[in-house]
Amino acid sequence: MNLRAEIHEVLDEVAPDSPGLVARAEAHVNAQARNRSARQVRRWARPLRGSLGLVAAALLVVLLAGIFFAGRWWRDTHALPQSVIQTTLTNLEHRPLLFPTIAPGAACPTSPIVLYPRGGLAIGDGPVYFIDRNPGSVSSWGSWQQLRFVYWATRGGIALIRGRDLGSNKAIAFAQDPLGASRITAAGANLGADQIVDKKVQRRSEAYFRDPGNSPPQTPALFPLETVFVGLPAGASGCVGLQFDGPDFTQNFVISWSHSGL
Amino acid sequence: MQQVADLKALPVSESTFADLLKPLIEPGFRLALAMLHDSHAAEDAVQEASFTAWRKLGRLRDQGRLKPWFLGVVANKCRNARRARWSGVEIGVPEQLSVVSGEEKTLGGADLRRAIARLGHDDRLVVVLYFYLDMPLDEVAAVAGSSFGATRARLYRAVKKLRPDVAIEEALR
Repeated sequence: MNLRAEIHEVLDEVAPDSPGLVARAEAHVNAQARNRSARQVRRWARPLRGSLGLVAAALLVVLLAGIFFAGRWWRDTHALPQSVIQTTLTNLEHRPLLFPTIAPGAACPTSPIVLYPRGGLAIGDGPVYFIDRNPGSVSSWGSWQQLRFVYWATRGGIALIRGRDLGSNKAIAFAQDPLGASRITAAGANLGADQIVDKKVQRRSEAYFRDPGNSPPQTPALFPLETVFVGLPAGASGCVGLQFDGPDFTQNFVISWSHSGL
Repeated sequence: MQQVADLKALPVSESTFADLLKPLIEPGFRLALAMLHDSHAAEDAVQEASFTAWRKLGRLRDQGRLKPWFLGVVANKCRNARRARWSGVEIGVPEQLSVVSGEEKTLGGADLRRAIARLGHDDRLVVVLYFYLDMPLDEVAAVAGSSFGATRARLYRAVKKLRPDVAIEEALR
């Protein structure tokens, strides 16, 4: 027996019959072909999904940019130009200060504490309410306190804030709150730099409530607390008169610097 | 050549290729079984090779050589199957393939099967194609992806490993 015949014999001996093999192979090809077709459909959709994702991302960017620029446009078109603010402040500065005069040695005529319409206590009968204060810091120039107000604006326009130490007739100073955002802006003459809670500030002669816009909130609860730092020079009496001149009002009250809270 | 004519005339589709493929399934299975010594693995290899061939039919340049091309795909599937289950491969004849026959014949057949199983993949491939599937040497070379001369040399070496005492020319008859 030659090698070819031997190999035939030994391999044929162990080769099992495999009935239905052709049918199974054909079924396998058909099944795989169907799976492949489905995968191809998904493959066609894959770049489309990527494109749609890019379009969605682009739309999101456009939307965010639109919101951003619309916000800037709204702010720019509705905020008063600096020249208008300055003119308004100058006009308001012409209003006389209506502080009470204090005789030497007399007690400070602090304004009464009233029930604040939103609850709690306040000084002032509106539209400006003095709500609270936080002790600030003491510098070589004087002492600072963070005063907290609510301004119930009934119409648009800025409201000027001025003040004096009534016992010594010294000017008091205002500083932009370095600790957080506030709609009270320190303005007027720059009286020099100072330090509040390790933060450098500029002493200014006055401050103002920013314009709430033509449609101020109608619900008092929506008026936020606004803060400003008020500085009292060394040697002042601590009897402080504050005057608020708005578009249709003038209001003033007297607070004692030595009090905590109201 | 009838297959070639069909292949060129008809579009590639499941049914077309299944018709062309059917005559190749049986030799493909015999090749896989001889290469893997495992009927289940052999059937898997043939099925995978069938699908691979269906997918790549368009790349077949010389469509007249469908059979060697398909068997080449089967051989590659067998090589991959052996690699995948390398740790489980028995270099020898699996027990389920043993046969019950005359004692001496069984021993002699087992020796030859074991000797074939010990051959490397490429040597075993040319042996199985040439001696078991009775393919001419040029088609064996096509399946193995080698030149005619290299395939012949490989076949000589493989025969020497199987039957060191047999003259080559006699063995190749």
